[in-house]
Amino acid sequence: MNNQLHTSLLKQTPTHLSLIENQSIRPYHRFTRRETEHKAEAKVDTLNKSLQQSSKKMHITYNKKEVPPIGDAYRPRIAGLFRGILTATFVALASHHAPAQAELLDVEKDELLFGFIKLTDCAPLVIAKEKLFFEDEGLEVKLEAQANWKILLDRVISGELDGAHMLAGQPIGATIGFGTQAHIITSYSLDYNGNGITVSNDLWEQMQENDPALQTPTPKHPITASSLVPIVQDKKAAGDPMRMGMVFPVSTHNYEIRYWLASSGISPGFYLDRASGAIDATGTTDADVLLSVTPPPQMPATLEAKTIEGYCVGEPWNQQAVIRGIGVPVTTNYDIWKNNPEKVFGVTKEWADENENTHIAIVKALIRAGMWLDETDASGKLINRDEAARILSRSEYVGADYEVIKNSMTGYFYFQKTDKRPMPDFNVFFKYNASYPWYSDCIWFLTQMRRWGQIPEEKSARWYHDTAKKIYRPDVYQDAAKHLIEEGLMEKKDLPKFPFLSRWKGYRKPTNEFIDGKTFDARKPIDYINSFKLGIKD
Amino acid sequence: MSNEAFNRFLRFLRTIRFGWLIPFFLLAKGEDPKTQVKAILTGVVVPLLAIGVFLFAWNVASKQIVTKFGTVPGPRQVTSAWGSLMNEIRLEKIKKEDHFRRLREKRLSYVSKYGVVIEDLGEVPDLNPSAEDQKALENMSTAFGEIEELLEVSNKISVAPDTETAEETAAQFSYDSSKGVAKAVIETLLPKELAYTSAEQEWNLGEKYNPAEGDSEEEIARKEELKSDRSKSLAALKADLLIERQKITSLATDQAVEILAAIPNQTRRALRSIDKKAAALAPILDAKLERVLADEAAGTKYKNKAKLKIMSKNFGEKPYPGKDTYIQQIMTSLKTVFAGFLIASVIAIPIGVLCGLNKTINNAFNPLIQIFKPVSPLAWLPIVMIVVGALYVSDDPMFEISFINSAITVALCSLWPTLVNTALGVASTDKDYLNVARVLKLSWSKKIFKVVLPAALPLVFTGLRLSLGVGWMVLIAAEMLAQNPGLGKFVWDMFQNGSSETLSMIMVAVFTIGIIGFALDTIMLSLQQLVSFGEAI
Repeated sequence: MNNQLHTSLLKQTPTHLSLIENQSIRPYHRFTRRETEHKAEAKVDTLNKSLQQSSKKMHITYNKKEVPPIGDAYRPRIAGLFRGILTATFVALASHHAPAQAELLDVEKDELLFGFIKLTDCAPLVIAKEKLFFEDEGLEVKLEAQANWKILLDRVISGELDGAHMLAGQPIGATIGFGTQAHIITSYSLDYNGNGITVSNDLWEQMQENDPALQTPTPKHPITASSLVPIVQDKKAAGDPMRMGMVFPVSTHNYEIRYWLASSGISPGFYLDRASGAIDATGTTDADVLLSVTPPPQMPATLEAKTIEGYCVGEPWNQQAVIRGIGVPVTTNYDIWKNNPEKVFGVTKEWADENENTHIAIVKALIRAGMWLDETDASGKLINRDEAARILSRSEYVGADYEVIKNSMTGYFYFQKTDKRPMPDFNVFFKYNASYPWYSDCIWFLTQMRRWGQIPEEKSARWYHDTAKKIYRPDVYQDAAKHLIEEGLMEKKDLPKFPFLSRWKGYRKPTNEFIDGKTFDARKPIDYINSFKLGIKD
Repeated sequence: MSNEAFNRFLRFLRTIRFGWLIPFFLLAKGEDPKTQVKAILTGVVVPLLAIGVFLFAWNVASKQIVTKFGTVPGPRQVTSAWGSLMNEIRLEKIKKEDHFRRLREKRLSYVSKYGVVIEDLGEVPDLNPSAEDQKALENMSTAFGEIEELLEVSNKISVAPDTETAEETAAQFSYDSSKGVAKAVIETLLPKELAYTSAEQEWNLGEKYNPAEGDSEEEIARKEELKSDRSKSLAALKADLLIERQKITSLATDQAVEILAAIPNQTRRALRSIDKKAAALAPILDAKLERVLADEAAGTKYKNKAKLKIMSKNFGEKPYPGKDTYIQQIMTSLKTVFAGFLIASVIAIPIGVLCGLNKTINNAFNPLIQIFKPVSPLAWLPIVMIVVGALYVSDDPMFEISFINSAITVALCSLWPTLVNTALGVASTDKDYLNVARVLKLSWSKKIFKVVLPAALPLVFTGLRLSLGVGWMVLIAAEMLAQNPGLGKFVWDMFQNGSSETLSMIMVAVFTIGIIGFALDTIMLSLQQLVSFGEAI
């Protein structure tokens, strides 16, 4: 019950009401009908008309007396109004302006259980529940925190969970059979960015020694891994290679920390021995830095225990390191690749086929949640993030302290206690079409999987495109968006536009906004794979 | 009270582990006061003193250790965490009522619109709310409006930069109850919030704690000490702040509960009758509207059945999709442990009897028992998860897979004490009994059920008691990994939260687990004493 409430309005007398209407203040929807309800009224009229035409037996009136719509009567604020003369005008106005209303989807399953991991980027799921967007679609959703990514994926596959907050690489890895094999699809991308790479205080001091430019409280960004090279080489020569943590073999974090290290010539290790063709499940063949899997919440503790010297993880665990004074975030994934996909909402193909309408209804609610999270006022300030941080800090959701979550959610990032920088795009949920499931995003992950040997054999460019189309489902997203646009809850401009006859619908434009300035053109995956100095080539 | 009854009463007290009360009763009866006083001293005063010393030592020690989650919580913080858990239960109740209230309103608004479609259907309950019903709906709506504001008060005010701003914000609230809570926040919580914020700022900027270049060793040592003192005092401030926040939340919840309690019975009756009428409509809607819509909108993908489904859902059957409260988690854990314990007993007792009766069978089972007995639940669990995952496939499972996983793991770890003790009990049945059975030519089943089992019962129960103890211990670990929503998951979730409350919440769980384990053991001990026919165990 953390929602903003215009309760003061509830006590207003009817005389004030016209004023409120003029100012078009929308009362809190939990106690009032949604605008769409007005549209529903219009729809009923249409329905009745069609009934009359088809069957003479049916009538429009119910119980043969004029009944005020019940939905209005219990609105305390409106209640007085309805008793007055104003009633007629108000209703007339409402129905006059009401556009055609999309009908509520006929959901196959209305009691759903979704899994999530305690990270701030589960926000769209939490917000869709807490702000009642799911309820508006007739869905009753329960959210359950999962112990780790593996258990989460297994439970989605076994059907215990209807869907879940997933690492972008998870549906891809599962579908192509890296790790657990299962056909998982996604039609909603939960967010862009939101990760950081943190190194221990000791390592940061050594990096500063190697690079005088870093010897200031506010060094210039982006910080590359080049100052790390001599340290890594020394440690490797001493027979004790540096260790760093990431979240999961198919997680964004793995590819990001690999990208960051490799862009400075440090090898993060391969999943495939290129000489013998042997598969290395730990991904440490020819490694300069040994990467290991650590669950996000345990990252700061593991860093503190010196088991690892750095890690790549989502929020709030980078900020946690700053607040607890145990490490220094050196870069965020916004610097590694501007606006990179991070988490997705995944379901099994089987589930999606059985629950077609439910899937669309869920995506509808998620889109609204994404829009809510990225809503800004006239000055461009994110207006709902503070409330979102408060909701997420509840123990059943992310559960970290509100102050910690607020730091990253409200557009600031502490690189050190003394180095607070505005990062308005650190967590992007909807802007820049962040929630759209781009084929090109899927292909980027596939290229990285190939680059590091998680895909052991050479594949054709066609395979990359086909696989992306199997896993990413913008059609569901488009469908959901269409409904929202019809209901007036979304604007057409929020959907990406593609040339009518384009072969590349669902592909993002080529971009070179990477830390090493390389251009990624999803239309040519093989060229992209071959363009890397470090990595497997086809 | 007759002497005999009195003695029986004393025996009963001893059985339920309230033996320490006995000296008080004897003293009241005037029996040998000197001995009784001594017994009270050793049996009651000493344990109480020990608890007191423990609490004191805990309180002192906790303040000395600063972890990354703040200070180790002392008794005060843990009590406060318990309070906040109990508070959450009350809040969840309120949320539940709000949830069903919204559902009711939604349903009514649909019925008012779609009612038209079903006019030719004959007996349709009159769903138009009477004036009284309308009033009831309005009352509910208003009550929840007030509650909503009330629960937001502390969030809105406690972030104020100073008292004036807070008072300005407070003036904008519309209800007396929220104004009251606002006043409490401004008086007690806000000063602490402000003090903590400024202390934290000073700490964050704190040049004076960090050794600078050119500092002498003495200077560095002084700064280090200052730093450690400061971090302790900061953590103490935070701990205090958390307790204060909990008090305010609790106050707001008290008020909210009062508001709900003040809703007249008449209103509630009206709402119940609305629900009932709506439920009566459900089957009619189901049968007919499907047809109507199929006729009208055939070929359209999005038939408007969803709203009708919402209307036709029976209220009582709809689960509330809120979070599990602490009490629900405890109940889940208890259910799981008993399920596991039951499985273990069903397997262990018959095998134990066989082993006890027959030396050869015993020799056959013995190596297996010895090998599997010491295996940790953490080793069993992955195997169980994989096997159950493969075997237990159902579209509409009666039990959650996580529940089955945890229960079976508990069973695998806890069946050994019962098995071993049953075998031992059966094997050590008095030979005279068996001879008598032989002389009487008792059938095999009679021999088992009338002679062997009764004789072995005390040891069987010893085994069961140990098993339940082991099961309860194992359960927490199993739940953590199997995602069974019980106490184990609670501990894991709290650990993952990594908030300032993490440690105190986990400590609450530790005490809960301990106390429940103690209670389970007491129950089993009482049962054991009941079946051991007065023999000392």
